[in-house]
Amino acid sequence: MTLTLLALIPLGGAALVWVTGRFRPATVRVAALVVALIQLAFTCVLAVTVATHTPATMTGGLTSAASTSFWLLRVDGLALPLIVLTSLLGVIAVLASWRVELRPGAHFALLLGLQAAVTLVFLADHLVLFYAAWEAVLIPMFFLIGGWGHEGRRHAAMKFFIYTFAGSALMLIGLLLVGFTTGELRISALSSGILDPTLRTLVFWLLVAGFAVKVPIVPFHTWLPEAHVEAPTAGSIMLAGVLLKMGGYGLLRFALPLAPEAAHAAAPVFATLGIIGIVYGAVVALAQTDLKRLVAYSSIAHMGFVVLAIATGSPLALAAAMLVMVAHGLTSALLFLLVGQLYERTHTRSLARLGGLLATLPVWATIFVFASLASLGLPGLAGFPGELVTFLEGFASWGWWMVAVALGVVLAGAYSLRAIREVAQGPEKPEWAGLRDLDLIELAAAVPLALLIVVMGVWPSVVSGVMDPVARALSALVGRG
Amino acid sequence: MEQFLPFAPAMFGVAGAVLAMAFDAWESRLSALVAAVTLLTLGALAAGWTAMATGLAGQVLRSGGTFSIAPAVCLLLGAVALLGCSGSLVSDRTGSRIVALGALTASASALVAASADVGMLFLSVEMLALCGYGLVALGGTDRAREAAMKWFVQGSVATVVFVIGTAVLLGRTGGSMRYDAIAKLAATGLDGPMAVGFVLVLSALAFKLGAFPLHSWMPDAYETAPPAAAAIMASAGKVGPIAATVWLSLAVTAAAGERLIRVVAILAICSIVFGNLAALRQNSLARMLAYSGIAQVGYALVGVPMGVRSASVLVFAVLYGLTAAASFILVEAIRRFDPSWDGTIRGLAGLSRRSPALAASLAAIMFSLTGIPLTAGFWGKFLIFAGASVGGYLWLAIAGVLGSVVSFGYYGAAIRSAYIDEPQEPEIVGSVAEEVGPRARVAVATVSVLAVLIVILGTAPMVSGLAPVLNALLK
Repeated sequence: MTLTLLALIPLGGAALVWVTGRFRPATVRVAALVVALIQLAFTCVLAVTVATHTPATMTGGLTSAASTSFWLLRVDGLALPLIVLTSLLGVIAVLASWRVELRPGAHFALLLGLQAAVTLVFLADHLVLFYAAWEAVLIPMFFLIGGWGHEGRRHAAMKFFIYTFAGSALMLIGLLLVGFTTGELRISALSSGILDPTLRTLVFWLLVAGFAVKVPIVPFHTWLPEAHVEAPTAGSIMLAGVLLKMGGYGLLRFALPLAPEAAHAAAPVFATLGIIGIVYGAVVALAQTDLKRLVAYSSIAHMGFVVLAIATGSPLALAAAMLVMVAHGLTSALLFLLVGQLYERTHTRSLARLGGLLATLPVWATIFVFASLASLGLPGLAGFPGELVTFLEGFASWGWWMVAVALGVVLAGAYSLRAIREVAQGPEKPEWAGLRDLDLIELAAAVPLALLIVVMGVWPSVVSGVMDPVARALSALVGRG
Repeated sequence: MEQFLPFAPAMFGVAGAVLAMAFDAWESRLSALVAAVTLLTLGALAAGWTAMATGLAGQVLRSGGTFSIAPAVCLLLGAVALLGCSGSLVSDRTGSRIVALGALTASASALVAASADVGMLFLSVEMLALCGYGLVALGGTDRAREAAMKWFVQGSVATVVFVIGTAVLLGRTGGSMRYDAIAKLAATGLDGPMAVGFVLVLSALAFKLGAFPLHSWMPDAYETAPPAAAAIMASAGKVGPIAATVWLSLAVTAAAGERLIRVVAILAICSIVFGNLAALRQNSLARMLAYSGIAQVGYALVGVPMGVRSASVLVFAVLYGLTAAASFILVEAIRRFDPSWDGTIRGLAGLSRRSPALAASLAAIMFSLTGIPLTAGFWGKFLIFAGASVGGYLWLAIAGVLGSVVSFGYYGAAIRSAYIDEPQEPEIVGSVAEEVGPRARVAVATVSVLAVLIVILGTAPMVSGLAPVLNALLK
């Protein structure tokens, strides 16, 4: 019941907000914020419960009662960090769209509906429910990009939907093969030996098709820059913050345990693609002239670390994959939030036109510098522990190929510092004189993220500790424990 | 007396048609509609009741078994389609004639679905086809009459093919045309004449379904026919032939094995590929729906090779029939709501602001046709692709899901137009909104009810659990 509430609070909230929007548009945002805060509080209570439950294995954790319906839910160490991240970014996304004036009722309802669907993806303990939630995520996101996005939204919404639908349609075939050849539709009951060995490689690649598009693994990333750039700020926050994590979650939840041999065999391919992603994302980010595009491409680089960590497969590396996912969730959300706040003021994202904002918008620019430093992986901030462990563990498995990753890290420093130089530093531009700095609501969105980035930087085991038992179990399966 | 029992459901529908024609003479279109809808519903109830009776041997119609609910579905969808377009059926001069032919179409389709004999199948398919020609011609325009004529000429060829096929089968079985007699003979080994006869009969059915490459009548017919007629033809008129195709294939191929199955599988793939690619290029909403209907028939045929699991095709056909009827009722509602609409997908721009209910219904219907979860259409495709992928037809399932992905290119384009695109002449918006009459409101309300039904059918199984259904179909 408690788990059901986790999905129903945002869903019921979406309905409530939509109805409110019909009658009292001015109060919609407050209603949405209250719903998101209740959800966050509830998630925190649940997190403490589960963490003290010690979710020992993949099959452990908090589970709903068995029944014949599809509505089976479960939380374990793999899902918990991502659920907390989703609830947190749900609040941030509401705050980020505080000033939306175009059909606010629909906007906030879609945002909460999106949150419900994503939460359900991480909660689902039934293959059919999982797939339904996975696809349901596309519907609100399609309307958010299309209805509230920027100039290219018309094309970006369709491209986003069709690309990710193409991946997940193949994933559906994989899940169907799993479910109906084993006769087991309950996810927590899918152990490693359950699938017919002759089917495993096929199922693995079908599943990976869905997850690879979502992560995204290069070369299946082409939908990402467009969707991230054209989406409204709240949409970008959810997209980069949690939607990409669905791919990593899927790899860890399904692809690895169901077909460990195939995952082992495919590890070099994934490591290569991960490294390519790290370098490619950074190189392309370096070449951008649009600040939001730069952040979007940096996402590809960061998610490359997740792919590399999963390919490496040692317990530490898998825990690092989760660390990078959560850290990227926080950092990219903060960056997209800041870019959105800047765009509201300047109506441009062009690096060439910006500059000198440390003088004009001191508070905004300070947080922006902080977020950029977090993005480049400064020690003491969230990005550092996960990427360092990935690098070290990767070195043990893949040896000198890690030099390429080091190059990617250097490039990450280059594009982050370039963004700082072009946007924050430099002479004050008269064009931007007189812009007002962040107000209380905007600070309320940005500061918690910044604080959590510091917390994760100095105390990473708050995340990796929860993930650790799952990481060990998975790692043993793929033969790298 | 018992021998006539299986005919009773269809006879209700025929009686409805007769009453509608009688009322037409009195120019009482509302009475015609009420009579037809009532009798079709009664017929559906009767069909549901006879479905529970066990199979009656030695009959040309069959009852009992999973497929025996198909006639009830045909009649019910006919009633839904007529009710959904009640606005135009009551107000237009030709309304009662559409009602009469529509009721006949549903009845004929019910007979097609219930046939257990190739001779009976032939008669009912011809009845279905004749109603279709008439329905399209009732569109009244030159294009409609041309489309009806084109369909009639092509349909005549299909009829001849059917006759030859039946004759060949008849010659081989030595008198009986019942499916079980054919199956018994096929079990002893499939020889050349048998295969030829079967393929000919199957081709005639494929023509009726509009499967590629026998589809060319469909886009013109659906686009030019009155929306009410298209709604009936695309829903009630399709479920019967789909059920018959599956049942006939099952009867014969259970014995004859893989080779004939391949024919159906290839038809399925070709329909999916062609229907999707052609639908992508359409500007007119009705024409897009017609081309996408070719692809949908392809998905249904994917279910044929699944053997005993083929019952899931029926689930697909029912849910698709409902959504297809809703889609043409939607076309009708948009026309009522905005008489200046040019029928194009682009012309839907700004619909979400003019009528949120219509736009939301459009979104639900298009998502359902794509097969996105939370809508009815998902479960149909889910069962079909699940059956195909575990039944050894993985490549068919993959072709099917990829086709569904492509289909969002045009179904999604309609949603995008309604929600995202800006109307080209915003000043007209206000004046149109003021002119919304009571009939338009009824049309919008009807399509909204159907859209809600589609969403309920899509979400309810999530909570209630389909486990018994899944087990029955897939194990």
